Amino acid sequence: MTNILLWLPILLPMLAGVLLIVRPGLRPGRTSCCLSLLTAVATAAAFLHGGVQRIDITGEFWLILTADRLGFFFAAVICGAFLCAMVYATEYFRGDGRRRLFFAFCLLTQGAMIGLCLSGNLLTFYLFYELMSLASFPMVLYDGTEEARAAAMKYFGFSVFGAALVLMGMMLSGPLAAARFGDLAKELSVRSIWAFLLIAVGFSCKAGMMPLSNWLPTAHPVAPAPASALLSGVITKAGVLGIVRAAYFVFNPALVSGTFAQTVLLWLSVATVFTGSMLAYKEKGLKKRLAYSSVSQLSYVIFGLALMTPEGLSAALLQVLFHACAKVGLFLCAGAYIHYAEATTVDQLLGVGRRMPKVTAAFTVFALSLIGLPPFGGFVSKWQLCTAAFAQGSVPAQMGVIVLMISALLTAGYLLPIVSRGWFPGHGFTCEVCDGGKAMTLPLLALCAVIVLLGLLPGLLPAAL
Amino acid sequence: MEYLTLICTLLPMAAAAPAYLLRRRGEKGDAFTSLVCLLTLACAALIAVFGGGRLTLPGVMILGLSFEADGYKSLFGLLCALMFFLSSLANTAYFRGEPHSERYDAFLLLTLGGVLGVFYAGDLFTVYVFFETMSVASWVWVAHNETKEAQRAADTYLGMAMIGGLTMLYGLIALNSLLGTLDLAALPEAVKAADHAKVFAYSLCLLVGFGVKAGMFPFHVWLPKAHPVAPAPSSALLSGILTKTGVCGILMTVTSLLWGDGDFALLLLLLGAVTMVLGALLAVFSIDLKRTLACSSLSQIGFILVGAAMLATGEEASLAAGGVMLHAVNHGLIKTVLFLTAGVIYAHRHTLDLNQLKGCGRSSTFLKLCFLAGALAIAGVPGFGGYVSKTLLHEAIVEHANAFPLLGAEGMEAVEWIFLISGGLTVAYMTKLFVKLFAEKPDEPMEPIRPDGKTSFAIGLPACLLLVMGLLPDITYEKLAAFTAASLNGEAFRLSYFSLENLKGAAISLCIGAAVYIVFIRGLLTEHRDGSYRKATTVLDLESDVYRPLLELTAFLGALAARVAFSLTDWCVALCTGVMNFRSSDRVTPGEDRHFGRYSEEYVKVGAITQTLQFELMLFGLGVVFTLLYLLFF
Repeated sequence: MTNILLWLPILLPMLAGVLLIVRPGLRPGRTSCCLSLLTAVATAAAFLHGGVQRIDITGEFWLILTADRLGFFFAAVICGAFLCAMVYATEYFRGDGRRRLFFAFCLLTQGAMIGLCLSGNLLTFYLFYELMSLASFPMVLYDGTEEARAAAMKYFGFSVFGAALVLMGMMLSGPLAAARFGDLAKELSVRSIWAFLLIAVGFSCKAGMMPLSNWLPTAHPVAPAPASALLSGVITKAGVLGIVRAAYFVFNPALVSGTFAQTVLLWLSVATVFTGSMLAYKEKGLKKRLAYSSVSQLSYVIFGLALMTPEGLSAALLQVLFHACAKVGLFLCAGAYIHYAEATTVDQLLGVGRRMPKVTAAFTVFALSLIGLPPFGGFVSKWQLCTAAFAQGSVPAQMGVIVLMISALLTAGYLLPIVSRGWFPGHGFTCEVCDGGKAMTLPLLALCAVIVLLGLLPGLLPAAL
Repeated sequence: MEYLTLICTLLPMAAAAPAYLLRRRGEKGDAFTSLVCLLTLACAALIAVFGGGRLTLPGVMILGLSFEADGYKSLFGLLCALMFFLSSLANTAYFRGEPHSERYDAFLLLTLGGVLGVFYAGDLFTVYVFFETMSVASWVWVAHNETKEAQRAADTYLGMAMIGGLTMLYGLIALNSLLGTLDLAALPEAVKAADHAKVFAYSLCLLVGFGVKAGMFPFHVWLPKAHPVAPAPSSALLSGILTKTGVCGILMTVTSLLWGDGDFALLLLLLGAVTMVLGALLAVFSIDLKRTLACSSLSQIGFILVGAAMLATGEEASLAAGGVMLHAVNHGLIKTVLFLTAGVIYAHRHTLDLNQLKGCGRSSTFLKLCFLAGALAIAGVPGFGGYVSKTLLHEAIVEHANAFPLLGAEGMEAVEWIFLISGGLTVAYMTKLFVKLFAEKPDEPMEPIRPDGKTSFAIGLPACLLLVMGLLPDITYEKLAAFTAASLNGEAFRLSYFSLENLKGAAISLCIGAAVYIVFIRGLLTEHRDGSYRKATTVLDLESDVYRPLLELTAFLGALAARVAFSLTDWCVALCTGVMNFRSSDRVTPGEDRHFGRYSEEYVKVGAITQTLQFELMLFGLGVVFTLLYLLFF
């Protein structure tokens, strides 16, 4: 019984995805939305039921599937984001003959990502991680243009390189790679610390931390909007989950704390926070701007994780949730602007509040949350991150707080002009209202509700650890 | 009873959405907005009478919100609710026929909730939450007119608010980590055990945040630009009450964190003095009606800050506390009268240029009298409200002659003179306004301006209050001061306001004012041909000459560094591909290539490099480098 329940949420969407590819007759949009919902239910069932399954491969290596609270947290974020993106995509791709492929690979990716959440050791995690990279690759490629092909190759190249670093780290770390999550290392040799650093930097490639962040601003703008929303909102979180698992469930955070690996991670994340925001501030294309913004915001998460304290972890998880909501929402809004207002650059968004009031209202909420203004969720996570950094007290952590503030200012600088010019285009601006339909606005509304509700009452979230 | 503060804060915020929808249907919605403001006013009055006990909402945003209204905070709250109510009465007439007035109404109510939240907050975390809400909500007012100037002013307003807010946030998080609490009641105890230098430094961060909102030099640049472009009813609020949230925050910082800190008091004194003179000077030169009033606000905030500095010394706090609070109240009332009058004038004449408004109010007696009351009050003429508070502030300065060892008695005498001269400049620029608008004969006969009933009430009530309270300070102002004294560590006091000694200060200011008006404004700033004011050339606009270029330069340097850092990986990849493809042709012709002969036309990266001399040379070079490194380091 246990076995089936644990496998179901992984296999269900994957099989459905394959079926969608080989059987063109189905109505892809509605089918996949239902299946995504089913997957969410199956995931919930798997996590409520719990249990462990171990599959031996050779003597020292085995795969483990298990359900714990952290996995549940990430799975919930992933399922929610996928559902939102797929419902939205039914309207976004209306009339596009190839939309079947998008939905198919979406489902495949979702299956792989649920697998990530259910993984019980680094080896299993690595397996699903590569699977996810492969399954999400066609989503970038969707448009099929020369540009899209180049971007997809870049995405794939960086993914593979990052994964190779992880693999190298796992080889260096020896038995830790197969150890079940939660069996913390008792002591770390210098070699293990190097292994940890390799694994962390490898995973951070997906999470867009420098020096392996260059794929994000290339891949996100060319992918269709729901795909960029998923890429930026949740697929990047797979890297985050990898770092959480490695740092807090395999290598002992108490042992990693104070080593050079921690210092390197802290400095790299702080540098990325600044760099991403700064480049977003200077960028004119809306989706590319949002991609740079992801680079910066995800490094908030890694910064929190690299503090190696329980407070840092919980703050980082809050940031995961609220960044996922805000960024999925922002990309979906950007997609709506492309779809209905044919605006891709920031300058074309003049008066967009008049044209598409509902979508722009949602955009405003997401923007304010991403900046970290009360009473929205982003504020809570930023406050917790900074408090955790102060409590940790090392030089890069203290520096990080200041950089976080500067980055918040830059975030205001690159998002609020859009809001401002959108709502206040100036005298004599006239246009027709052409707002998004129900399938577009409902996911946005849901995301806004999560940001406001959980921002005000974060106590509703169960403790993830 | 403790829920009153929460209701008072959330009621207007919750009513914002219905107000928006109702207002979109028609003018009736205005009544709803005013009604909500009136209810809030009633709540605020109840809080002021019965006190707002402590209310905590644990778990909201993790740290939890808390509310507590006593003393100066509840007085600020009452003033705020009153001003919003009066301002909302003037909406209907001002916005008749204008687009988007529903947007204005909704954000009026949101801002009201935000401002009240700041005043009624029981801890600094709550202050911050509502402070930022208020900043963003009131930004809509500034941008509301959607003109080029409004857009630029709104950008500046929001930018400054963000910079201030984030600086403040940093200070708050640091203080919370250092002291373990942000509760206003618990802070004075917690501070005693902490490292004073750190508390001081973090409090400066708070000062920046609050100072931006208050319009304190050097963060005042947004104020003279934002207030004139906003619709007049909101200019009154921006000037009269939103600046007071900054003042209230500074008072909180002073009483809870840095009570009796000489350095902080000195800093406040210097910044306050500069703000006081600077605002007054700008107002003297301004030829725009609302800009003059906005600059005058700057100057009055400077007066209040000087008073707050006296309070911050921690000695003999009673007079300073009374002066600060009463001047804040007076300034709120005065600015309501003046800005709403300006709004009425603008609604009829559609310009704010003083030269074009010559004599426009000459035939409207009611407006003339109200404006006169406001002008006399702000100028500190005995018999009107402003005189009482200015006298108190003056007395406080005299009393603290030895409280600033760094300045010494001579320094304090200089401060006193700066105070008097600023008072004189106030007289001068208010005379200038009054003469131009209400005394001079218009070039061509104009229809008299008649405000509607609601607007007249909104202008007349505070004007009457100023006069009545000014005439009977013993039973009005002193009661208010006594009401707030304890919360600012002061005591109730009695002062004979109409004694010769106290009248002397006002007399000096009035003389200086008369001299400045006659010699400077009449003599130098006026064209003798037609009596119009000359447009003064700007010597230095801090915003466009210093702040914006500085920010742009920083952004440029930052972006340069960021671009280089971000491109490093791309360069590495390019270098690797370059090395791999070195000396290899891009295209491989089938049949001629030994290795890839069977492939079709395709982009193939060939490892042909390994066969070149250069490659061997490079390998040799690498070997030499490694040997060298080994010899050097091992």
